[in-house]
Amino acid sequence: MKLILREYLASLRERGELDVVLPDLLSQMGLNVFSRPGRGTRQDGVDVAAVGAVDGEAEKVYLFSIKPGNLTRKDWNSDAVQSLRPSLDEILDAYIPSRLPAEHRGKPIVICICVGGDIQEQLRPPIKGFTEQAEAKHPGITFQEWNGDRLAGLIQDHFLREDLLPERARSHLRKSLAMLDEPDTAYKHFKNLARKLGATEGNTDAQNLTALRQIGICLSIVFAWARDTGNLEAAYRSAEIALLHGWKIASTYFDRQSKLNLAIAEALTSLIMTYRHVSDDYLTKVVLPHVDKRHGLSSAVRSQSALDVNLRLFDVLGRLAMTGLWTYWEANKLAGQDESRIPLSRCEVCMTAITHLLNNNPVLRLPVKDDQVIEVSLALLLLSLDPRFVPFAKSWLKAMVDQCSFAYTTHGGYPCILGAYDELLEHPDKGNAEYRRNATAGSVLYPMMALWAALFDADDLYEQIQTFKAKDLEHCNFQLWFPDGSSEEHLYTNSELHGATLSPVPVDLPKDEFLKHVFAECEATPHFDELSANRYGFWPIVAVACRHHRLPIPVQLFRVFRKPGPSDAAAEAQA
Amino acid sequence: MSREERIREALLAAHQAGTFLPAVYQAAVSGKEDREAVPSVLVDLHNSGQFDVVAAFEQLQNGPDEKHNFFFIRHPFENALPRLNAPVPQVMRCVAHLFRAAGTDMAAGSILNCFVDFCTNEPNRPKEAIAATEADSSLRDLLLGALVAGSTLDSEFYFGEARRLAKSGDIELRKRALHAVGRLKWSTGQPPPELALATLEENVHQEANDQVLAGVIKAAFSLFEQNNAYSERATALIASALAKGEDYSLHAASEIFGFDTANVPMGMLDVLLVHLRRTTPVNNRTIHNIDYGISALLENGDAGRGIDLLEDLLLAHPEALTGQHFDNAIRSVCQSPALTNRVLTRWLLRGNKALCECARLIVEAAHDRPVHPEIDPAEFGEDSFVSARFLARKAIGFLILRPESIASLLVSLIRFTHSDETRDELANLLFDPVVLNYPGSARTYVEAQFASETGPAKEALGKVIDQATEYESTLNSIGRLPELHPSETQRQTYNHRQQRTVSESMKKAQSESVLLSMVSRSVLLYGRTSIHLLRGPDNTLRRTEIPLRSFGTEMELPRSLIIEPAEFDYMLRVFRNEQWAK
Repeated sequence: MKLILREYLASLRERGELDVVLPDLLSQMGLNVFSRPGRGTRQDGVDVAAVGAVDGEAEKVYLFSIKPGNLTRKDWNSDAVQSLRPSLDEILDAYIPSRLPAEHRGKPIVICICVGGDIQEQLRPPIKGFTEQAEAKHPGITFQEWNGDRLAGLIQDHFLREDLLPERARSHLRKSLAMLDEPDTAYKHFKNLARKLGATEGNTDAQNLTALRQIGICLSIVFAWARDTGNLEAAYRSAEIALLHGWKIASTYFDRQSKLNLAIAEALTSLIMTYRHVSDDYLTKVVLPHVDKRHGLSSAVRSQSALDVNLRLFDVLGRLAMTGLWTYWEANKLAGQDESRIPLSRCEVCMTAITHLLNNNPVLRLPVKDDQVIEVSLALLLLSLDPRFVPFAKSWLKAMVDQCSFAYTTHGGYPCILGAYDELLEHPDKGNAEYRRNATAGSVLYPMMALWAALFDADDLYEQIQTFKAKDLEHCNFQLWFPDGSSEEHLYTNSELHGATLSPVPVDLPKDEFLKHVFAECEATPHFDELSANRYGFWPIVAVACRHHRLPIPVQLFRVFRKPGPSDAAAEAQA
Repeated sequence: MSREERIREALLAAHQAGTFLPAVYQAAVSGKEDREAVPSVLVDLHNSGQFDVVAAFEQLQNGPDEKHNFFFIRHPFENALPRLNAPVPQVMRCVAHLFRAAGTDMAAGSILNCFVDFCTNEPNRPKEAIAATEADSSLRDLLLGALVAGSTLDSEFYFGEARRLAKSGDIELRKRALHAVGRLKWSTGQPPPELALATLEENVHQEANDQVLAGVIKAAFSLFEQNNAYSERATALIASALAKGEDYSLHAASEIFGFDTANVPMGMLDVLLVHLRRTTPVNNRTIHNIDYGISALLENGDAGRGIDLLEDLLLAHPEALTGQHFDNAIRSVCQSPALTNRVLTRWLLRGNKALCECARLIVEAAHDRPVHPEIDPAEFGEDSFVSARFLARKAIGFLILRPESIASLLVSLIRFTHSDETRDELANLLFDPVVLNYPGSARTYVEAQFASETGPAKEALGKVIDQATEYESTLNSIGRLPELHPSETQRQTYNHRQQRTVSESMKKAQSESVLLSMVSRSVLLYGRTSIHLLRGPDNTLRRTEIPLRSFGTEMELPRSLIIEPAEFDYMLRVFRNEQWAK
């Protein structure tokens, strides 16, 4: 396991990776981390600062200057901003005299040269010379080397040792790493690991905190290894399940007083950062460079089966939209609070990428599975956040409705409720009306399309869906899913069936009445608003849970787009 | 013991054991000499009173469950039949049974000729046979043979018999008697008498029965064949019969058209062509004959009439008739590049679905090599943007699985047109969807044409190649993205399904294979050479080696089928269905 950890640490980058893992490790070791890395700023050479006792020694202040990978001559002392020696000088000359919090002044200080890998042997003499001179010049200040080997040992001791992480769970981690080339298998093992760690019944608060951090560190390990393997698929899916199990643990602390609340929040933040890091890397590597190429991503699936292309491209669409929604969420949440807030233009990047993706990959105009309504909803939700993209969203929706009805009429690859891959391979059974009727016995996709058509004020499109329903889909039970009282318990971990389904959804009603009918159900129960992710402002987690566990995106997320209709005005006037 | 004696004893023993017919089969397949000896042995067994061979062959059945080939057993009996001494009614019952049991096989009627020989061998037999057909309706199929046999003995008498029976109230007798009028044997060197023709003319005016009219048509043509001077009267007779006749008459006409095309005079051919257009698709055999006829016209330089008839039939029955019903005609078109160009240009430009589907079959008929059609300027007419675009889109819509053929047509259009706008449009279509979907065959073809082309056409093809290069290089620049690949489980599931589909297709093809139905199969598990020990004429074993070869085929599928199946399907449907008002 230590070898695995060393490999992992050596591959970590500084920004967003090693500097995220280290504070969690220090916290887990019992130290109090009082300075964490911030975006875009340097704290006079200090990346992470903590105070506490390590290995039974006296309480000391630990100041970390972090360098990724192996420390080379170039990293030690060059003109580069990130060179280590200038950083150490800054710590000695600026941080300690002027920025060290007052309560920690007078305590022994250890300046830690923290590297993910090793320090090259030829650098040892100059480093030794520097540290001896500095120690002589600054009494009470000592230097330590925290290399990959030491960090691996600490991670193993504080996160993964037998009493913290049982052998079976460690085995899942090892198998997950070994099978990264087979993402399905790797993900299956990671999911088992996350479930095991997320089973918190009977845990103390400290154990829960440890479990949360373990999920984070395990995800981080998988991510680093997946990146080295050149296949981020398992890491992406693992990141989602890690986030959801992490949220499940952390969310119970927001409402109660606990000494560990801050630590829990920090561990959750760290986990979210890792999740975001994985998804950003995925998009940067796999999606964004290729969305503007005609048939680029469709061809990159490299399959002989059109079904594979369809399934994968809708999956990519959902991931892209999900990242856009997170970016939008971050931009709004951090607006005005932090100079490093993410500009909304990054959200626009995702929206633009979606338009390219849809234009260049026509397969995205015809979902083959009804549950691809999830990806459709996420994309429409994101595009609708910017009025400039609404006309495009409408045209895409129109293209989908056209193709769905055409495919249905011609027994083409129309959306169906089949789930198993082998069944989908046989779909559609050409010319078999009975089969088609069974394969379209129910739908969330069509009523959701009708809802979006109504929200877009696209009367023609709404009528087209009405006609399609009346003429061809009379047998199809149009329905919408809503969270219920048990959803908070099961939504994030998919531990049980939950939620309630509104059916039949009356698309035969005039548009305004239809909207009123649907949104009335949103107001009828408080369950959606009471989901912890919503209560604490983390609504994208609901979307992640729905996408990951294949549940329709709750209609409540679209309420914001509803314009008051005549029936609302009448109701208001009556009131 | 001589061969004949050995066979005789074997058949006799088999008869006593109740396995006579299988024994005949064994003798028939055990070598040329045995096979040739069997008829004489049968004659001997029967005529010497050993047992009733005729009665034994009356037991022969033809069906899918029978162990032995029906025709292998019937054949020795046919050869023995003329020499058998047996009562005429008994022989007739046996012959009628063996004729009917043969079904629609092309060899079914061969026994009737032997029956004629049987009747000819005794002067009374034709009379007895005629009497038997009049008395027993199950023997009517043999009337024609009896009359023909009789006419070789006394043509005048049996012509009289035919005329008598032509007035019979029984349709079955009437139609065969009239048919026989055309088949009777007249005195050596004498043409049929004018009275024969007059008999038909007299009957055709009074006759309303379709089957009888069919007999008249056949007889009229027979008389014409025997005396070309009857051409006009025979043509008029056939026209009159066809004017009143329906399916049977049309079938009779189709037999003349299909099997005697070269002998039919122009006027008679026109009559046949006019009426054969009325054929209904349910009459498969009639359609089959027409197919032969069209094929003959196409190969004998009268392509215009053949194509016109084919077109009219396809257009009249677009749902029921397809090019598959005219496989001989299609093969004939394929044999001539000029005719292929003419037909493809004409039919794709007309845009009718039935004709375009038939055009597709023409292109697909050459299994072993791609067809490279070009437009026929005479059929294409004026150089117009709309026509060129329409034809190009029809070619794409219907010939999409034959990319080289589409490319060939489009390149010839590019070469033909003088309009920049038309050329640009054709080049765009040539790139997308043709070369874009077929980066192998279509692109290779375009590149080869580019090398030999000049002027604006070369420039247009150059643009197509540049577009294709850019498209491919963009896709190649993406490299490998394993995150997007289907999972191993999905790949396995897909491959398993594909294997199952291919295996089922293979089994189906094997079950329908003519070749495999004729040979026995043996499975070799290892090696690449088959070793056999064959017994030579001197009874020594000789070692032979047969090297084995592998056979394979490959086809390129359009990439859009995978990456944008719905859009692709929609585009093809639009291209196939769009029409224009000329």
